[in-house]
Amino acid sequence: MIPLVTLAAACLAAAGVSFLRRRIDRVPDRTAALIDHEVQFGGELRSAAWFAAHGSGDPWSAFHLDRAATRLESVDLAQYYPPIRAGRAHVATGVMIAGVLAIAFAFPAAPRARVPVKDTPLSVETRKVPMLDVEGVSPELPQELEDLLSAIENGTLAEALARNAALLDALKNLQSIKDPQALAALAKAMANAPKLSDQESIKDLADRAKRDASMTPPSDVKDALDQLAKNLSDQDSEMASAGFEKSNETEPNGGVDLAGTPQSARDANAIAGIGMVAISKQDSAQSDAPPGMGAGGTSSSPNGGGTMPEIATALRREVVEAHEDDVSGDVHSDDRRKTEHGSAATTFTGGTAARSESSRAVAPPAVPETRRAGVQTYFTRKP
Amino acid sequence: MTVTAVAQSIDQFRERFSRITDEVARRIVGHNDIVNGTVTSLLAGGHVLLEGIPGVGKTSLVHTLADALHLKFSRIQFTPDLMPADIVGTNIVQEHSHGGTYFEFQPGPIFANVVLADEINRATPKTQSALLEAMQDVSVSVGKTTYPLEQPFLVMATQNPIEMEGTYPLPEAQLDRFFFKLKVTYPGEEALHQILERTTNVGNQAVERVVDGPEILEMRRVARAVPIARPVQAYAIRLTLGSHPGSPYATPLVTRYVRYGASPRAAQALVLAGKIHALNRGQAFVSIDDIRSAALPALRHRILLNFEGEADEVNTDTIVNELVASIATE
Repeated sequence: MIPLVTLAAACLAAAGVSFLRRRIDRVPDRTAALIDHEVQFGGELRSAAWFAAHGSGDPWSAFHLDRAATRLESVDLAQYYPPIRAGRAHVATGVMIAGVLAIAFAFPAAPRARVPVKDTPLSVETRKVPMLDVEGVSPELPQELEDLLSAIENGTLAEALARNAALLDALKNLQSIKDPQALAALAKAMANAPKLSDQESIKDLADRAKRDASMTPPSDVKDALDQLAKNLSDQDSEMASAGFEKSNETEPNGGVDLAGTPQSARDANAIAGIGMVAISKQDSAQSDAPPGMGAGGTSSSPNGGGTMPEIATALRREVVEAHEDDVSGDVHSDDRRKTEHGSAATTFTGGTAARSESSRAVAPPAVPETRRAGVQTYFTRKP
Repeated sequence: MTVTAVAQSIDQFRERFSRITDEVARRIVGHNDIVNGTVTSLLAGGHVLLEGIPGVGKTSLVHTLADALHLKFSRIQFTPDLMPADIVGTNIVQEHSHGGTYFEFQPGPIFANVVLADEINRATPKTQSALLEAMQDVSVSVGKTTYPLEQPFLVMATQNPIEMEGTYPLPEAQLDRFFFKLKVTYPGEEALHQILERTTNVGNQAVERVVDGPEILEMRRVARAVPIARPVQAYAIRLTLGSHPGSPYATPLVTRYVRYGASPRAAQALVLAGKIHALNRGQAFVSIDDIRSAALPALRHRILLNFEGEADEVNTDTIVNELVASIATE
C-alpha cells in the first residue's frame, strides 16, 4: 500500500513540475522558427520570441513585440495546429491504469522479478601435465607453463597472473632454459599425444608458444614466450640438420662432400641450396630428365642430376623467378602534397632492377629530408 | 522615444526612401534593384561600386541620384595619369597682401557629399588608394593635416568589366570598402522603349531635389535603431564565415574555388542592409529574408577566387547563391 501512495505522490509532483516548467520555459529558437514558418509570419514570430526572452526594453523592441502580439492574436492557431482527437487512446490508457492497480491490489505479495546474473568462472580448468625430472629445472615448470598458455588462450591472463604469482617465476625460468635436453623434456611433457617424437613435440610447443605470444600484448610474458619459441625453434632446426647429415652419411653415392661446408643449421636457405646441389649431383646419367625442382632432375628420382653449368643456369633462373615473385621488394611510396585546392596524391612504384626498361620513366630520386618541406610547398601559391 | 514615435519613424523612413527612388525612376528606367541598392548604401553610410558594360546608365544613375539629393556633388574622371593630389587636393603657395608667402590647402573634388569616381579602374592603384582614407574614415590627410569630409559622404564608383586593357583592377582593400557592388545589366525590351521615349523626344526629365543632408542623416540613425535578434545576426555571421574555405560552414564551391572569404565588413553590410530592407517593408525587425536579400551585393566583391577559380572563370555570384541556399537558418 505504501509504495502505491508514494508512486501516486511522485506522479503528482512530476506533473506539477512539468506544468510549472511549461509556463516559465522560454520557447527555443528552433521551435519559434518552425512555428513562424508554418504560420507564415515572415520571421516576425521568431524574432519576437527572442526579444521576449532577452528583452532589452527599448522602444523599438517593445514596438516589435507589440506588433507581433497583435498579429499573433489575429491568427487562428487551431487552423494550423488542430487539437488531437485521441478518445480511444485515452480510454485504453485508463483501462490499463485500472488493470495495473487491480493487479497490484489483488496480488500484493507477488514475487519480485529477479535479473538472472550470469556467473563468470574465475578459474578455467587446465590440463594436467606430468612433472619434469631434469636437473636444474623446477619439476612444476610444465604445469605452470600449461597454466600460463591456457590462461592466454582463454583470455584470462591478467586474472591468472594476479591469482598465481608463481607464474611470473616460471616465466623467468623459461627464458633461462637453453639446455637442449631440458627443452626436449619440457616439450615432451607438454605434448598432448605421448606418441609424438621429440622433434614433433618441440615443434608443437614452439608453434604454440609463438601463437600465444602473438595473442599477448607487449609485456614480460610476451618476451618470455617469444624467447621460448625461439629456443625451441633453434633446437628443432638443429635436430633437423643433424638428421639430414646422418642421412647423407648413409647414402652410398653422395656426390658432394659436405664435410667442408659450414654447419650453420640456422640458415635454412643455405641448407636447402646445398641439398639441392647435392641431389642434382647424385646421378649425372639422368641430366636430360624433365626439370622438377629446377635443379637438373626430378625431385622424386634419387638419381636425377645435371652438369654444373646446367645447375648454375637452373639456379640463376630460380633466383630470377623468385625475385620477380617477391613483390615486397618493390619500391612503393605514396607521397602527398597539400595544395590550396585540396590534396593531390602522387604514387611512385618502381619495379625491380631486373624488370626495369630504360625506355620507361623511372621513379625520381628520393628527396633529402632537409629539402622535403621546401619541395612540398614549392608549387603552393603564396598569398 | 515611445512606441508611437517608432511607428512614425518607420513611416517617415519609408516615405523618404520611396521619394528618392521614385524621383530617380523618373529618369532611370528598369533598374529598380540598382536604385534601391544605391540608396541603401547611402543610408547605411557605405559606398557603391557600379559595374556594367558601357551605355547601360551607370553614370546617369549617379547623376540622377545626386540631383535628387540636396547634396554637393562632384565627378572625378579616372585616367591613367590622374594623381592622388588631383583627388584629395594639395597645398599651394599664396602671397600675403603685405608681402611674403604661405601655403594654402586647395581642396580636391573629394570634398563633396556625393563623389562620382567614373571608370575608377583606369587610374593606377596609387591614385585609387587616395580614396581609401576618405571612404573609411570620411577624412583626408594632406601632409600633417587631416581634413574631415562633410557628412553624408558617398562614393559611387563605376567600372567597365569588358575593357580590361590599360586598366588596373581594384585592390582588395579598396573593394572591401565598398558597401555594395551592383551589377548594372542590359535593359529589357520594354525598358529600352521607355529609354528611347524619354531621351529622343523634346525636353528633358527634370529631377527635383527631394531629400537633403540632415534628412539623410536622420534616416541613417533610424536604420541603425532597428533591433536584430541574435539568431538572425548569427545567420549573417554564418553566411560571412561560410565564404572562407577553412570554415565549417564552407560549401563545396567555396572550398574548391575561394582563396579568401569575406571580411567582417561583409557581416556589417549584411546586417545594416537587412535593417534598411526591413524598414522598407514597414517592419521593426530583421528577418532571415532581409539578410538574404543583401547577400549578393554585399558578398560578391569580397570573395577572392584562387587560381583554379580564376582559370575556370567561376562567378562569385554562383558561390554566394550556393552559400545562401545551403547555410542553415537555425
